[in-house]
Amino acid sequence: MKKIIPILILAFALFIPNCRAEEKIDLYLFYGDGCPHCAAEKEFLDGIKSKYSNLEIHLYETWNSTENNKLLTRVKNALGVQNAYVPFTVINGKGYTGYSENTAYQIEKQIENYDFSKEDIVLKVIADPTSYDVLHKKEESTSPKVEENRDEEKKEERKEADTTVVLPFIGKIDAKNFSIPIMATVIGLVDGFNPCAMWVLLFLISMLIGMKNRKRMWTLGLTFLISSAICYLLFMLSWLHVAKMVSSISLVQKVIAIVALMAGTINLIRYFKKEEDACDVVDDKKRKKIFTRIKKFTKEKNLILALLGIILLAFSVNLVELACSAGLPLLFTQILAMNPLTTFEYGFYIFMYIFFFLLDDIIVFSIAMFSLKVTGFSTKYSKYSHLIGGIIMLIIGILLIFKPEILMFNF
Amino acid sequence: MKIIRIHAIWCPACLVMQKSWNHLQELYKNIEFISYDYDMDEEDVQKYNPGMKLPVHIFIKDEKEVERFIGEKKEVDFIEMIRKWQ
Repeated sequence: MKKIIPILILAFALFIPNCRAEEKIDLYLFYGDGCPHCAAEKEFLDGIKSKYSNLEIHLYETWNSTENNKLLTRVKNALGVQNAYVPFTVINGKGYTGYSENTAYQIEKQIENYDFSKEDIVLKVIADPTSYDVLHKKEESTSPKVEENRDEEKKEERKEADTTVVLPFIGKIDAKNFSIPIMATVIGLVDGFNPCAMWVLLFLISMLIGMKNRKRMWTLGLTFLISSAICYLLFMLSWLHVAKMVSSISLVQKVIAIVALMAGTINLIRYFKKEEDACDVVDDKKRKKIFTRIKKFTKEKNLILALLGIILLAFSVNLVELACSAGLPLLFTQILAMNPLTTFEYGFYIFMYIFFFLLDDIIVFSIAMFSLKVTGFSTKYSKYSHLIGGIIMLIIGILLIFKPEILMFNF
Repeated sequence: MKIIRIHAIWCPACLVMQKSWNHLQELYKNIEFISYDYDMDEEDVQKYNPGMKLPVHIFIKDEKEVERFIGEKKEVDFIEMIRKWQ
């Protein structure tokens, strides 16, 4: 009997790995229908199924299922992940956003080192969903170091994608890296030539030119331009925040797509209507009110009060006039939200958009300040901005409905 | 003959046309060129019922309006019109 016991223990010990091998390894994949990286990951998972017979893959489609989307948010909250992107893989208590060769390697590594004693986080969330309605502030999720690592990971993932093209004289460039900057430039310029708020700037310039103090002219004019930029920046950042939270819900994307299609059609109608290349006279009451304010602020002797007045004027004018051209910044921000960029990149591209949006204003202002003459751009440019803007809006609207993955340049 | 212009300092199309307006005045000394600012000369402007688009150029011959240009036009369009009515 004494001899049997160690043999039994040994046999039992040897048997344990076999038992474990039969235990299932749970992998959860949150994906979106039509997302190319999700499809690539599904293909990869199908491929490794035969290699790991005990691997059980749980699929959750999140773009068309509100329930699955909520689950994804909660699981991400539980893991301390602050984004809404798919594919999102959960295995061995770890979450992986996006898919690349590196992710595939990490997933296989997690399968091979699967810890069966670890609590299944997805099951935990399903059992107690309400506890995960808010983000669990794990140290790793909020610490700048981990955010930095994530940014690095995103950059690494992008490096792996082979999207380089060779351009004459320029050489090799990565097309994906250029898609968003080109969009920021083109859409920003088109938006800038929309003459909604230009009349206020021109009136302000004409008032400033009458001043004898050049320093004051520059200060007040630049304050107006910078305040306009900040107003736009705040609007775009707010929308980016909202869009990042809801970008994975296909219904929201479709609503934005419909808005884009409508705005695009209106722009094209305005172009093809062949109206005179003229300046629209803004409602008398509104125009006079703004003129009175501009006169008051520019003549104000106290510089601080004058600056405050100009800042207020810039914000009020731009907020009201934003409705006139909100379509383009809204669409651009939506596209940004669909791409998993780093915080710096989001800021940089929004800044780039605003720079090109304000470029015509900066040129008009600079010419006026140096030459003391008010100049303007021909209304033909604003007419063409309706044509180009309309086409861009229609294309983006159609892509958002049928092929949103094309707009995920870096994903 | 006279040409009345209704413009505004905040209107880019008016600013773009300023150069042509000055040049036309040099070319046609026999024509009376009158300029009204949409905001400053409100009373005069309203006499000509300018509408909601600027600039407006009104060609007047024998105290009667014979033609009206609305919006941005080229200098050559003005020359053509002047030749027609002069």
